[in-house]
Amino acid sequence: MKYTSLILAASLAWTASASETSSIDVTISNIKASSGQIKFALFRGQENYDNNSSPALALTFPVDGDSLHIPLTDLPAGEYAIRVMHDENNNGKLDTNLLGMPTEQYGFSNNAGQFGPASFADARFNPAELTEMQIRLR
Amino acid sequence: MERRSFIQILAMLGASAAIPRNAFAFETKQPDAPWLSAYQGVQHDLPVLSLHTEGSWPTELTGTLYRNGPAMMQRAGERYHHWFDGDGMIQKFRINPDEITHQGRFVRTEKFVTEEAAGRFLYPVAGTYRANSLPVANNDSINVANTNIFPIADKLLALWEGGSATEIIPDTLDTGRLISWGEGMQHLPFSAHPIRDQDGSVWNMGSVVYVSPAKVVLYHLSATGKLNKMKLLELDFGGYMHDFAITDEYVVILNSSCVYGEGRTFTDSFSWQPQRASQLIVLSKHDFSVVAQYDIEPSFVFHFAGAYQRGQELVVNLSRYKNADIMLSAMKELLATGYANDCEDATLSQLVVNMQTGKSTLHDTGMALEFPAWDRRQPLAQASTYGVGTSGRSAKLLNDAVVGFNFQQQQQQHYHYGPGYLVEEPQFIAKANSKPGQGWLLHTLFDYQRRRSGLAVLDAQQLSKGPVAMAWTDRAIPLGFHGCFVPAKG
Repeated sequence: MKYTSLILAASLAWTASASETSSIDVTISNIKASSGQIKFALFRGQENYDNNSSPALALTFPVDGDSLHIPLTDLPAGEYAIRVMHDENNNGKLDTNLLGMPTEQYGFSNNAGQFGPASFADARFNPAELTEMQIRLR
Repeated sequence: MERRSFIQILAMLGASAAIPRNAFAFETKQPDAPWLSAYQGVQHDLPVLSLHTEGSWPTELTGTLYRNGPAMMQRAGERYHHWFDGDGMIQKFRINPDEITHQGRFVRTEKFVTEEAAGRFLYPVAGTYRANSLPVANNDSINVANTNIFPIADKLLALWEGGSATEIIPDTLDTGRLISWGEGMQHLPFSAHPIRDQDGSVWNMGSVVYVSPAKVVLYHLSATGKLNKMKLLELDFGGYMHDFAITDEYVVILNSSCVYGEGRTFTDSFSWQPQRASQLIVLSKHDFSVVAQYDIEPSFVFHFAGAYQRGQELVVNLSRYKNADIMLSAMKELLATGYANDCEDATLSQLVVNMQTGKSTLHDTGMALEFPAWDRRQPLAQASTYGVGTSGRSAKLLNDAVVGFNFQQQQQQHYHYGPGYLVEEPQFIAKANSKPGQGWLLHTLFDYQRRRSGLAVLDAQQLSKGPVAMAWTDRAIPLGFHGCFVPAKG
């Protein structure tokens, strides 16, 4: 599945001149269930990431196959991190079991967070230094 | 969910950087320690093969012996350091009057399937510290389904202790789904030692030491595998738990003095704390409420050998270790060097607790006995406990004998195969139309001098006479942990 960068660029909450921006192609892989939707959140800076309430960019995609291609363009300079989840039952949240362990798929930029939630330090990336990133849902 | 608790949950999955132990190095140890070939593992499923039989096989043994154990111990030159880590393989011995066959099939867990496709290990495991592992979603991402196989409602469950039960199709050994017993119960630990009660219902627990506070999940299932009830019980501390016991009224768990803390892997996160009393926790079968909790002598236990009530006393039989060296160091030493000389065997012990005074007394028979089995038709007070033991002539941790002990008569029995053989968990199988206590002990064994695997059957009341029948294959079947015997229908 491929969405045009225009849609994403238009969704960004800030503007910047072309000379200060970067682009990165993000691929979400290992999507297992065919139901529900993929919720994608891009955060800019640690504070934005840690607050987790108002991402710089929040997008929702229907599931169409086991991967999803998201080209991000015109990103202003800075450090970013991504959270992705697969809301398989469309209830708007990441479901968990009685111990609080996720029962739906999720992932982070850099595939960070080996033991669960990733810190910004582990998930951060600078789009000026990368052209593509694969996030494997776990 | 608290972020911290989620990290702690997944920290049990243990991972990160390390130098993998080389498979070649393991093989170079084998001339000096030939028993290590039992831990070599296999790389592929083992197709059906006939065994050569010796002696007269009792007709009661017509049926199938299923066993489970770690079998994929290395990939692409990387070897696991701890026996607990290998991916589970189900061994199926089909026993008929005219033929005995063997088949081995890996459990197709998510981990196994992903790593098989990649041709190398990818995920963290419980006892080996390894490099560049894939991120883990939940307990079942690294479920190796390698500890036991348990029959329920015409199906089999391949069991681990850190995550869900995995359904296995008996005829084909195909892998079915992961079992979730109810809403919100996906991926919860379900121990490898469910207990079938007299009414056919099934009890189990699951240890969750890596959250704060530590917890244990308690399960009661119907005979057909439906959840009757469950409870999440908070513990005072996160002691290692592998097995438990039931009486007519109680579920009995032991919070051991091997306590979870911090470490690079799940097993490394435990430490033996002899200054800390172990806790015997007695729960009502009715509603899992805590009936009583007793401090007992610091203990480490993999396996219970049953429990019963005697007036005001609670009697608990255990294969008890005086410390946790077996899990924390000896298993790795054995695989690394071929020897674990400082490790003491578990001894059959009986803990008697006066439930009125809370006073407990530990009686240690001094007899090395692990993987206990007994005739469940018999009141436990009268039953003999059987298991694997040692002749004293093999290296430490190498069980080369079948042993039995009767607490009521204070009598020991044994049959020593002796050095050259590794003896595995016996199953007690009642003789046809027999009185309680009369039965056969069926067990697997490995002849490490000839690198062949076999089955043996002994009369439980005459162990010293040795096997009445055996069967051998030139195939080296990986050693396993536990299993079950399913009699042929009709």
